[in-house]
Amino acid sequence: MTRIRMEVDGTAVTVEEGASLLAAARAAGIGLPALCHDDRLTPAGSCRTCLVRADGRTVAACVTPAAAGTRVETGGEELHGLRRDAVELIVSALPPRALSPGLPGGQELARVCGELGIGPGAARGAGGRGRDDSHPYVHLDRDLCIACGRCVRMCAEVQGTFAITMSGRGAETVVAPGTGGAWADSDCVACGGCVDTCPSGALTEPGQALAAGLLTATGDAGDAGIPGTGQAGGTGQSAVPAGPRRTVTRTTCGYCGVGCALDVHAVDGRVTVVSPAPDGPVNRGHACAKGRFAHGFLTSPERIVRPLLRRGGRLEPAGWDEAVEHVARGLREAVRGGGPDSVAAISSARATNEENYLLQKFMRVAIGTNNVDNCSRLCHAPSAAGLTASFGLPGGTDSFDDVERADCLLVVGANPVEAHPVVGARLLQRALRGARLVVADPRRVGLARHADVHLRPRPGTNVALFHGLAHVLVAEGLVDGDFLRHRASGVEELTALLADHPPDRVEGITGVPAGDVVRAARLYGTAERPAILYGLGVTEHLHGTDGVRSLANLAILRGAVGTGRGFGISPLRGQNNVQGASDMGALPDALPGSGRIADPAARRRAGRVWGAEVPDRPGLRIPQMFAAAREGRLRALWVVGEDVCATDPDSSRVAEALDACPLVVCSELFLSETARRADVVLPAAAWPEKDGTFVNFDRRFQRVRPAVAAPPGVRSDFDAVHAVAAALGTDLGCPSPAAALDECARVAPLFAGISHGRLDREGAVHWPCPDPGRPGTAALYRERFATPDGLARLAAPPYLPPGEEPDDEYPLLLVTGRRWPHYNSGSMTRRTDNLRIEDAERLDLHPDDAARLGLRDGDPLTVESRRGRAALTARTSGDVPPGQVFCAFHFPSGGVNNLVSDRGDTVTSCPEYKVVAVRLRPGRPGP
Amino acid sequence: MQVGGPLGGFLAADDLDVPLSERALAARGAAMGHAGLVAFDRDVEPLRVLRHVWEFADAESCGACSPCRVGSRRGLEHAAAGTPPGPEYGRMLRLMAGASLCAFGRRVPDAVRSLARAYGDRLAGWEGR
Repeated sequence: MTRIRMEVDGTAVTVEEGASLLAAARAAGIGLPALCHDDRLTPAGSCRTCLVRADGRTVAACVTPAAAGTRVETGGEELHGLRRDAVELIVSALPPRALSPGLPGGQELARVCGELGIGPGAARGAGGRGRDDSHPYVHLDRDLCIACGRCVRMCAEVQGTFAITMSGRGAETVVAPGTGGAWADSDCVACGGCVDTCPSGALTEPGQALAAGLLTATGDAGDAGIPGTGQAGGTGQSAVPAGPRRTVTRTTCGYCGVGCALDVHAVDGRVTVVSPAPDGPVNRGHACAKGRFAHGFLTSPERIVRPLLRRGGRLEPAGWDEAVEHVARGLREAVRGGGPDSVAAISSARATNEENYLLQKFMRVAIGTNNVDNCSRLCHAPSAAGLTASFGLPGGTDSFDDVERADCLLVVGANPVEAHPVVGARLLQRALRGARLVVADPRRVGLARHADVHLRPRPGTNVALFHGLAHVLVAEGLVDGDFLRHRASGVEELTALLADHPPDRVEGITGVPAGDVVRAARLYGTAERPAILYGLGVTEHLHGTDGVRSLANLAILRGAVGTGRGFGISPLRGQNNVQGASDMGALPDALPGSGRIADPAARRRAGRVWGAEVPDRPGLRIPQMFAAAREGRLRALWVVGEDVCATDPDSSRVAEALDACPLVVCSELFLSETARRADVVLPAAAWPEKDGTFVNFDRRFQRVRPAVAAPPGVRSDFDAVHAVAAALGTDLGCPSPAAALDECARVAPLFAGISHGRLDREGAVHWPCPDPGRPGTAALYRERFATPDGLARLAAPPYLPPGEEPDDEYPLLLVTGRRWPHYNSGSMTRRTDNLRIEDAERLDLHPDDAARLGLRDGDPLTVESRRGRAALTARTSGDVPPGQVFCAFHFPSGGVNNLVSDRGDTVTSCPEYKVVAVRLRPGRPGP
Repeated sequence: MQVGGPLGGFLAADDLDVPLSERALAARGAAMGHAGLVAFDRDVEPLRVLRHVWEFADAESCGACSPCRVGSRRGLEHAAAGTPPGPEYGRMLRLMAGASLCAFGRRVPDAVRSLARAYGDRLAGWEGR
């Protein structure tokens, strides 16, 4: 990028060619009002408040490019007066309340007016244009709209939803939903970007009014201090001592695995607003309907705030000491009766690294078993297994910052627009700006509408599809021969296998037209920097690990991993800390930092730090735990933060397992289906109440900080594990989360350089990070792969059919996934106003299938599989192909996971969630 | 007489002895525009003509930039009220002329100023100085 020299008010400044005069003025340290400007958006030059003189002409600085030698004047009575007039004129159309203290939102306009000496009296518009409060989170006060268009550009250029537009003309111009009706009925996905960028308070969220109310009610009539003010720095909380206690806490989102950095605003210990951190390394000032708005569950009256003990068949409140003693007694009895391996724990991918570390240590040291697993078993265990086998480490190969720079994106079995909205938005922007996009998914998912090629394989045929793509790469010479010779192994075996996978045969297996296979392979194969992103549509299959490996083959064949000529392959992890839970060793066969239980050296290293011998027999996986319980071999099970009865496959059999297990302990926020079946329920803290770290989908450690205190009576899982260990007479060390991560760094060379102190200073650090003095490793394998021989391994798994195919009895295929307003089992999002956006589980079915069955939108229906049935509501949609149906499982009352079989990935036992043969019946299930 | 279109310049009766050329019109504060001529008889109230110009501006402003979006409406409100506005009117005209996004908003002040000039004392206080 060429830099050019120019002059601002006599001072020489250097800016990048093409930078605006506004940027040049800022480079010279001069602030200008710029009400229609947001650094993230295309400049519009609409408010005309950033007026400067450039070579003698009066221009709007934000839309005037700097040229070498330009002389810019910003000062002087006349220019200052002109800018003041510009702002004053805008303000004159607003009603008096626009500049009143305590207005929710509108801080930017108030600040600009303050700087220019424009008083509240300047606002003297008549108003009367009304409000739109139809949406739970985005409220519009039309009278406060200054028609700057920032919200519209935000919606288009950052979020990519195009839900809103400027409507009307002249003085009547105002933002409106593009669909013309109420905001609630629009395409808005509640990312909150419009609210964030609105400078005048026209668009607000309820939390801003709440904060303003809380503050003024207690006498603080100053600025309402909502987004944009009082940002805490990289570390901890900032508080203003006088009046109500206002805090802003930088933390990491506890919903999906994207890892958005958030600033949680609270007044007197109550969360008011959660705003995306402008300098968040992954989200860069963006967020979604979950992370940004779905925090109401924290104060839900349904929150469990006291331990519960089963007495005479009923769960009754108890004290912590009593509950902990009960758990300890039960664990001792289980070990006495059945040995350490009769105890198991399901650790939580929602909990912090430190909590996962502590729980696996508890199981291995205090109990003496490797029976600890986490829900990655149900989602990305095949990723860990497959990526480790192909490359050496159980994570994505490249940082998302790089992936986003790819010129061809291959997005497979994932719907990031809904399930990982911030990643989805960024990928969509890349596609809109010219990156080639290949989407492989049976459904017309969000990104598919913008794809160059949309491949729609029959569920369960991924391996054949990926081999088909690889076949074309090889057949058309689109492979990197040099890379294959020096950095990969397994070429011959794969080439031999691929000979059997020409596109027409692949079409026969997958249903994807041969021409599309060729087109997609060419797009990927001819790109300079291709990248692969994938989701559960690859892993949750009978041959999920084979799917991961055959997908990874494409990156290897292309030399697009470990070279900088492409950005490898990255799994989109589902839970906020599912990467971290596994990294911390909450796995039956792995220790913190991926040391294998089977490896004596890894066991010795951990044992030395722990002062205990690590059991050498790999423990039970989650499905094996349930099987053991049903068979009477499991005597105690501690389930932390996972509603296994709602989310695990063949749910009724899971319930049987819990009923059969003599002691079930459940750490939960709410009385989930699992908690209802537990013998002891321990009330747990939620992510905005916790101290620790999460690891996101691209291997970034980020800090989690308590923004508010947990309700009285509620403890963090960290404290609960310590309490139970203490009751068993074991001191686990690790007195604080920071100390736990420090100890983990001693056990796990991959994390040796990571600590809370470092994260507080640096924000985010990628693992592997073996050295505290050196940066983490964002892009893996630049020198060698982490396999024993340093080579990437091509895999040649044959295509094998899925565990279930439609037949006469069950003629439709059900695929489950996620809807954007809700998260997983919905235990949190259903207890927020997200429920007003989506209030029931709906089954998407193709209009042809609906017509055949006589079903219309909104009709109740029953879905039946060989395992069970579920009660849903019909929604016709062209997004699913004929013969397939789709739903989520955000509403446990629907019972969707009763339908899923307990068949799992042959390598990792990850259930086959994505292929379920079902039939539909109109009406609700009978008794 | 208005020359050149709805935002054209106004010439008073005793200024009409002028060649129909760009240069000559420009020298009198008008412009050729599309060369249309609109004549007003002496019975038309000057304020009505002024209001007409502002009505046109208000109706045709697209709303893309704030000086024109708000200024056109504010100008119409002043004209409709009918009392000579204060100094902020002049500042507003200066802003519209100097900072509007396109030629439409930039030209509105020329039109209203030339109208005030053409009517002289009958639109005293509307020069926007």
